[in-house]
Amino acid sequence: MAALHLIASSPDAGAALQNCLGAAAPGDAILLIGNGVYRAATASFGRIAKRSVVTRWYALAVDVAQRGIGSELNTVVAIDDATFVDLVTSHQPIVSWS
Amino acid sequence: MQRRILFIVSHAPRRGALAAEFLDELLIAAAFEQKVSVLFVGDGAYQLVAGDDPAAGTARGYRALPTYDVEDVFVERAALKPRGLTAARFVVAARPVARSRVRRLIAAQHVVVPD
Amino acid sequence: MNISIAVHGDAADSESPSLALRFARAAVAKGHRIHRVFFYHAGVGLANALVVQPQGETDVAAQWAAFAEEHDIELAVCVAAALRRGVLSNDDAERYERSGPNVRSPFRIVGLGQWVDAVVESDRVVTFTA
Repeated sequence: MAALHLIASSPDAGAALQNCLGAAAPGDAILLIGNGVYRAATASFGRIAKRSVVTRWYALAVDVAQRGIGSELNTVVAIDDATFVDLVTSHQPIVSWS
Repeated sequence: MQRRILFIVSHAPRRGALAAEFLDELLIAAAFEQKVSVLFVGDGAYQLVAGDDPAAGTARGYRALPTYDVEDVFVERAALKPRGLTAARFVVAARPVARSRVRRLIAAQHVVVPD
Repeated sequence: MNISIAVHGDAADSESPSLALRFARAAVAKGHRIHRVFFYHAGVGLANALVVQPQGETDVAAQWAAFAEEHDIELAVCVAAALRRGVLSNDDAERYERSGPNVRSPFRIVGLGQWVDAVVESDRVVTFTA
């Protein structure tokens, strides 16, 4: 079963995304939650995501909307909390990066 | 029932209770006969080397792993060179592994615990 | 599915408890069972009954308490982490001669073994980092 990676910290908080990409496999999914959604708004994110082996990128829509950055997002699919739950039940393990 | 639990260390040693509490979780899982593995990635590799006082720092805690029958201890090979680290400097017996091995290790787990 | 949740951050410094609560609500709404919510590291602060939340600010601890009571969900707080951070049960307040217990209901002080039990008994474990 593919793994689901969770990133909740913003770019200035540390190397969570980098560490995650060093460990993620091609079939895995990466979900940005909380301040993690800011990572998808950075100019370099599109390039980083394209260069990685991971093709399934998500962000929690509620967290994106709260931060007013929806129009800056690229590459990620915004999902609701119910879909977050579905991702958890359809992946194992769930790997949280901080 | 035995679960496969992987503990991932991705931070350099930090002040406070976090390191001790992380190690407590690891050791209790081992004591409860779960299949425990440990993986050091990124700055976490710094936890494998010791400063002037080998008794200080978090490395001391990880040296106890074999006594708890935790032998699957790995470090991401890609974390070493950029940090000027070599396995020769480790005071903890961690095996450098390639990315493909890291991916297989994670895929095999039931639960992963972040530090 | 049986899902367990670990909360590593406290409400004052981290979004971890509120993200975890949103996830828990969504999981219950989809018919899954929350086996245990385990508060560790700074997360034990949610159980501190002495915390006074400023008016007009969201009280995540109160929201967790209400949610747990409504759905009969166990809010487990690690004893060692709690002692370090000044959250004491009746027994511990007596044992360590502190002025009083301060565990908010329905949070319960438990041993770290309860986290291992959650791992063993659950289909999934999701950790919300600090």
